[in-house]
Amino acid sequence: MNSILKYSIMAVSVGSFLSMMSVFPANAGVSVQCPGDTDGSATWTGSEVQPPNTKCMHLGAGDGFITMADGLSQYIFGFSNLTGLVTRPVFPAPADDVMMAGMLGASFPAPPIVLDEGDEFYLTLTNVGMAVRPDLFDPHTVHYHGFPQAAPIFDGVPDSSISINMGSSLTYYYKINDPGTYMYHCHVEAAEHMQMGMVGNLYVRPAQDGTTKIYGGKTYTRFAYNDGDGSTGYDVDYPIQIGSFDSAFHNASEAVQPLPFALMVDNYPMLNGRGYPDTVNPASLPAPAENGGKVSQKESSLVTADRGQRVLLRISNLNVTRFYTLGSMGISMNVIGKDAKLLRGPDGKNLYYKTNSVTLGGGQSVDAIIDIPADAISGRRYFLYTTNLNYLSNDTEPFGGMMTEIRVN
Amino acid sequence: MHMRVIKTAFQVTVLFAAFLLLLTVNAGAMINGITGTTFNLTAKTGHISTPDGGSYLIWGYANGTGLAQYPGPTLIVNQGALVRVKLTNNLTVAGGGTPPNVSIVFPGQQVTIASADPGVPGILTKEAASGKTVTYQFTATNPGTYTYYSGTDSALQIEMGFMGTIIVRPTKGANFAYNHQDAKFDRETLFLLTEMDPRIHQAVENFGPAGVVGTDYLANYFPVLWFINGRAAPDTMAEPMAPWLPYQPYNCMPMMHPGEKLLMRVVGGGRDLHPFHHHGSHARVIARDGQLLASAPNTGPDLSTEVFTIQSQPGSTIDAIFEWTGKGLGWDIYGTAADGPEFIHTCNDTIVVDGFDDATHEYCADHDKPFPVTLPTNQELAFGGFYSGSPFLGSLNSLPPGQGGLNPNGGYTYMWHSHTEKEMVNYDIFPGGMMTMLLIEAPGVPIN
Amino acid sequence: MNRTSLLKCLRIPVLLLVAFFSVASSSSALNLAAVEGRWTPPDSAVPITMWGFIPDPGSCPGAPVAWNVGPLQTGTSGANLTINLRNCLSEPVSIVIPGQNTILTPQTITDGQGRVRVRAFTNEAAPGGTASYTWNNIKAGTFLYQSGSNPAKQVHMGLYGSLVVGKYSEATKDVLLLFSEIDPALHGTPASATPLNYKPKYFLINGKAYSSGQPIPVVNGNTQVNKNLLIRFANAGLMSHTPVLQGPHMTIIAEDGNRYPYARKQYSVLLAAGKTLDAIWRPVKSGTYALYDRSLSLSSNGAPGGGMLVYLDIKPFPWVLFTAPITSGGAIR
Repeated sequence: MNSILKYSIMAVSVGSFLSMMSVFPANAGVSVQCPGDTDGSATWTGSEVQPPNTKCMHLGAGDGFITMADGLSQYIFGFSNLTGLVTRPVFPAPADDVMMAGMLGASFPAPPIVLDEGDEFYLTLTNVGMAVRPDLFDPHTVHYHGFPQAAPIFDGVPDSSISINMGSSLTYYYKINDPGTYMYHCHVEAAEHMQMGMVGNLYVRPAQDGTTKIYGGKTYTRFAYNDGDGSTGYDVDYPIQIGSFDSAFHNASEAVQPLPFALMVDNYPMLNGRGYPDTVNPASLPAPAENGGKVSQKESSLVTADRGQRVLLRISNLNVTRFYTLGSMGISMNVIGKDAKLLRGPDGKNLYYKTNSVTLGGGQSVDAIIDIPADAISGRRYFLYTTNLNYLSNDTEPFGGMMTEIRVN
Repeated sequence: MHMRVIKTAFQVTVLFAAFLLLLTVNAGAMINGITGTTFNLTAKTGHISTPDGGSYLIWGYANGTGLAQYPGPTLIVNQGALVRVKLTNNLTVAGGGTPPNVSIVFPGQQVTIASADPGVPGILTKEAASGKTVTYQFTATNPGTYTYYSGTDSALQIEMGFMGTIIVRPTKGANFAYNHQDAKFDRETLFLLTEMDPRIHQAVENFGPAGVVGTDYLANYFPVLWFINGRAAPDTMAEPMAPWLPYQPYNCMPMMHPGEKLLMRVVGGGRDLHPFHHHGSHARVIARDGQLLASAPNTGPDLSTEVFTIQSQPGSTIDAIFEWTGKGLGWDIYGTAADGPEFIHTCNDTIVVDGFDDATHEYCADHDKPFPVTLPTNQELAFGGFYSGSPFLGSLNSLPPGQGGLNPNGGYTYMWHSHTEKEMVNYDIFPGGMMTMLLIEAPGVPIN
Repeated sequence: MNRTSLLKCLRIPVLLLVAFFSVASSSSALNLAAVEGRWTPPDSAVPITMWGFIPDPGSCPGAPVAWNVGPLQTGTSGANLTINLRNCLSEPVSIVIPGQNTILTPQTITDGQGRVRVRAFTNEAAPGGTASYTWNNIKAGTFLYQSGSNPAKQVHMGLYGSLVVGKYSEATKDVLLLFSEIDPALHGTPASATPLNYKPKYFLINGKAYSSGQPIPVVNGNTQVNKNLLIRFANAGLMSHTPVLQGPHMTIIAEDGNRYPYARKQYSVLLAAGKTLDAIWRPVKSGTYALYDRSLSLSSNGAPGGGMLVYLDIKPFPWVLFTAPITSGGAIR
């Protein structure tokens, strides 16, 4: 489908979508719940007072486009960050702004969620609908993957609880007790919605942050976990989310064709929503034409650090078709956490281990620390790449795929 | 406003009809299997069913004169027992050709062959030729979770269904996974994970094992069906021994109360890796391949760690202990007086002072904390079949007609599934495949 | 025995040849050549085009050699290791050792959009040329060495081998099991493996694919009952495999040359693509023990019964007095 045709379809579908809004009952609509926030922006401005340890965020769930590293445009479902948009009073004006911002505003991966231990996190999800697929009335959810001691009402599994319909909002509440590397995704028709792009990074910084600990002769104030001894101290941290797309599935979705979930085979391996070499572009990728100027790929995977620094990699995997092994070339990794838990036994035995690769299936996470050598000169490069070497391509385009670089400043 | 409304009528979706059946029948919180020291297994053909109406030829181990099973019978033995497994080859193949030899290997066990039934030499072990018997014997020296599977033409025969689980109960007792206090559990569930490439089964059904020769099915393997304990969801949640699943006797329906310990025995029965994601909370992995994760004898699982996704590897076993209390949610999972007088309750942490109610395991620090947000109106929501209508444990609330209904006691339900999400489908229907639900019932709601 | 005649019948003797070279070269300067080779599958007389590493004959062979996995290299823990590479192929080739820390000199191309892409992890030998690589202060353990140039193409074409550095005090004897795969469809005209086109049909251990009906390869580490045997696993394939030692448990002690803080007893182990693992096994009974891929890469060009299967040969007491050098580990007889 050429982009002009896409545009015309989009125009029609947006129009029909907006007209459809009127079928919702009057009490339905965009509704952001955030303590201390009165204008529904999920932020605190002017006279609004942020309660202690409170964080808010407003996500939109809808669709959009991204550009693969070989230039292919891909239709996606995804989340957009609507935080900061005034939503109150409700209809007509501000909520319409939210819907317009969210429509075709999906990012891939989803906007990162960064939390601190002790936070009370109010996450509002507004279903802005699928502009390109007005035939779909899919509800959406947020599944905070790995959240310990979860209750179904906020777990985002539609079968176990509730999911939000188009044009309305659902606010999730999480008391953040446990640091570590998690992830989040929509759990509605998860094989489809996740393949289509509704996945993102989520991690929680520990209460130990801000304290000072000396480890290996260096002083750290930021840590992966409450380690007690500074052994997870780091200078810079990077979330790295493994993912991959089946372009035939995305094309079928855009063209309203049947979607045989069981037949998925991914041909675009990615890190943080991009194939190499776009992974090492530190900036956002240009907005796809089909998105009407909305930037959809904001997350770089380029890792940069000074010599002698410790780099924390928060690695997660949210592809839906296979396992991937992520290797480091030229430098080893020290695995200090898995699945949002410090790698220590119940009586404190230290189970950290060094390696040159980690193998993750969907829904697994690994925290690994890389020590940049103290004598590394500026410009030196190391690599993070999949050792499943046939995934070092963007579909058939070589020198691409699941790879990024670690560059010494 | 939340009200304890027991719905008198609800529409049951076809998809999850099986679940209700389960609730009316013995749920079976212990693992189904056969016990003893001598097991007579028979290699036979059978046909399994999938929820989308599919039927597939399998080769399975039958218990004696019973039907072939997918997976084979779960053999439950006591530590120290001398175990004898007599395998008789009653396999038949299409086209009237000679049925292949069959065999069993027992990873992690020191197997000898009984002189009475010596079998014939094979690549990995002694085999039973067509119509013949071979007897394997081993002493179940170590407790734990093990697997058994075909040692003959394994790429084909394991795929066809020759695999199963062995549970060795420790001398310390049946509610221990291993001989250590930290391996104690209240309930246990088996999760034997397999996948299937129907091309292979159809080729064997039509042409016998020769049907796969010359294809690339075994090398370029492409499964499109996924199972837990031999069933694809929602059949995983149906009753065990369901008459309409004669070749798939085992279900997978974990149930528990808050504060209980659920032992997950996870077996990689097929050939693929599976990331088994258990919603609700972390689980502590205490053993692999029948070996407690211990730094030395008698230390207990001091090398165990907690995960939110169990990485199941082919042929290997994982034992993990799952607990759930709702600790630290920041709101009272049983509701507060503000939700209605029927929600008034106490939290008594006096007998065993551990932060939890002595009877209900409610986390007392969150007691009486209000539900933190306002939920959207019903018109704005889609409801799951397992949604009780209420965010509170053990509570029901009215839902629009036709919604919910699969959770009559207002339990908390969690999806447990392969996080390779394409594996939790029945072709193009989601959810299905390698999926089940954990049901946490409110304290006082009987399980079993 | 001169090198030329050796090369002409290289198929089996590669490892022995290397043993010969490596033992002599504790000075840690190794010379390799990247050459075109042929591999004859067990079920077919039609050879498959391969690329491989061989001990550098000093000049490029005039004809394709019989392919095997690259010669087993040995190094000394803490020493510096140098590999000199002669490139007899038609495109640039390099060598990386993923488990050894080093300084890389990446080679790049600029694509049509002006984006710079790394096409080789480190410096290369041009066709007909040579290159030299040095790893300082190498660490002990089991490693893969492989091409760092267009790895999606050159590794599956056969440019890989194993490096063993030092010894473990727990085990004086060792065997090396190098797993790999061949997709013949990508070898006619050497092509990059992509997510969808890579469909290997031959599954090899130490360069051999077992084929049903043929003798099962026996890996002989001169291992004896009640003596610790070190099993060194390495996977040069692009897919993960799951070796199972049938019957006993092994003690997994290290990966990628890194000792675990606590060893673990398992009868199976996930051997991911590019991974090396070290395991200790103390057999208590003599005999042949099967070791095979539980990921069921147990077919050979579509024929069931074949692929990644070997026997480990455990000798009874009294122990055989003959002891081979460590470099014979992995030789298949």
